Amino acid sequence: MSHRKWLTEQIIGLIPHGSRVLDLGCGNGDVLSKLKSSKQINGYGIDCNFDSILSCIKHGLNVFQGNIDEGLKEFSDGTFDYVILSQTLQQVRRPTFVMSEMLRVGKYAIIIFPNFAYWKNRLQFMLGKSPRTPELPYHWHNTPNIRVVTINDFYSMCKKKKYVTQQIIPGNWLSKLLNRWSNFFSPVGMFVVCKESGIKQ
Amino acid sequence: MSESSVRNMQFFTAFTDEPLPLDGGQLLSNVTISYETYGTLNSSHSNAVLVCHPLSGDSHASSLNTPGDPGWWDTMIGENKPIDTNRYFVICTNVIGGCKGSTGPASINPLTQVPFGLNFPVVTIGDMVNVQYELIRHLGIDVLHCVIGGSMGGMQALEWAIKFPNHVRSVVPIAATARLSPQSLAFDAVGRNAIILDQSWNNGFYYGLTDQPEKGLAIARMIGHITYLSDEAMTLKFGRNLQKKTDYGYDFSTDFQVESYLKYQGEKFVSRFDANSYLYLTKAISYFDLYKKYDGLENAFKSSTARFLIISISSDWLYPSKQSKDIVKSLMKINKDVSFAEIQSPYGHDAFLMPCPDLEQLVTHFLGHHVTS
Repeated sequence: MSHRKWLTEQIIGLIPHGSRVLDLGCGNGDVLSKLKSSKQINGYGIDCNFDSILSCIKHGLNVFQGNIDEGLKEFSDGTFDYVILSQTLQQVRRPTFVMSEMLRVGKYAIIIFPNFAYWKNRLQFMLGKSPRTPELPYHWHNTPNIRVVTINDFYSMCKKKKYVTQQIIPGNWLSKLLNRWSNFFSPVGMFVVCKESGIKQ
Repeated sequence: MSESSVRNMQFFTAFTDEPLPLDGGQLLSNVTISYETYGTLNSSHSNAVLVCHPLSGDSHASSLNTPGDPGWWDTMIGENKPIDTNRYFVICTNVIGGCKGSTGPASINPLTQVPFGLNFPVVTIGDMVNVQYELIRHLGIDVLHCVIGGSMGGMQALEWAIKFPNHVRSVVPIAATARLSPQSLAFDAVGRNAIILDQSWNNGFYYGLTDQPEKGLAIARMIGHITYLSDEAMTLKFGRNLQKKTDYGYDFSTDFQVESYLKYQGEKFVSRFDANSYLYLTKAISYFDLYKKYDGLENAFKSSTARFLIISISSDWLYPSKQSKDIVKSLMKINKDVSFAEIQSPYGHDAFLMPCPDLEQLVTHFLGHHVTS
């Protein structure tokens, strides 16, 4: 199973039937589309790319063309059950602000980001190269990623902000076995975050 | 041969028994609406698309039935085009207050047997939509598949979603706004002043006279045209190029290509448009204010059930993207089915009237997604 497909399935697994969902950086609408058909969710996608918007409209999804900050500030507190930020945290200018906004408009935030401390990234750094992996496919000169974040970094930020986190461990056998060292073994960090205790499974 | 017979223009007269109560408080009886249709209404009457025209448009949206006589939206309507006439039954009406077959200031006032002139009551976008609704019912259509239009046409689409929530499945307002900015109000006011201050306008009673308020109407059109383009579009199209000259004339004849173009647009317009209609329609646009009329946008749309696709144009400074986004944000706040896309185009407000692949794709997919039975 491809990594992307695995992530999509994990997200779908986390979200209960009939939830209200906001997908920030929704891309071509894969996740929303599957959530709509298998979980009867309703909600919106936000993306700044016109082709993504067009693709979502083809799928019959509700999408807003704009940047994440702009899309978020319009919603009142607690509008959504889940707010998804997949592979985009490392691209936003004010990640902590975006997270606080996500947890203002939604009960739960699902956040997925490429883990820069993954061992393959570390190895490439050791060899004197900027890391390039399936999760970090860009060259140094064309990457949209402006934040270098690791799973440990994310944990400590959430702790500081008093957020409750639950990490979803990637499915390959090695990282499952060694989940305590996911910062080393996992190519991505995947978290469900909320303000108070009591994250639903 | 008259224009209407060439174009298959049809007419329907509504409010023959009970008059139409207008937003301005007056009553209007025997309201005629001119319209054209393209394509075929299916057996369940579920494939009808109402196309609403912008200020200077009319019911002749497509050349489908009249090859050689271009429609104002031939880029969008026709066989295998975004509003596909193989699939949809397309209706386009001339708005009331207009001058292309629907009741307006140039129509004969039944009480006096002479043209209304300024005795025609001021109409609003809401009034226009009320008359369209009567036509739709007359055509045997209960629910429209879509109401789509740009600029003033987009305002009508928004009113449809508000006024007739049970009779429209989707709406596509393009380059529209829920209300004009003071700057846009100002441009419309200057246009109206140009007409009113033309001596030949004669307080609106110039019908049948030799002198027509052509100068005023041409200037109004020139001002309008500036607002429909953008700085970039004008730079691309004309630059500072001179018109049939190698150097400045050092006089007050036409020097620049952009001057010549506006002059041409103005002159062309007076042969096909009524000055009073220009006053009435720009007044309807200026009065359009969903915030005021419905006490806020969220309140305006609270009963709407249509799916919305709201489209803006990046270089539109007349009804800028922000105004479209404000509508979308209000709809999202109240959990309505809404999507928003911004077309990247240098051509300004009128970009929706030009060939525009992004717009064509958006509309194709949006209309096609919720297929009619």
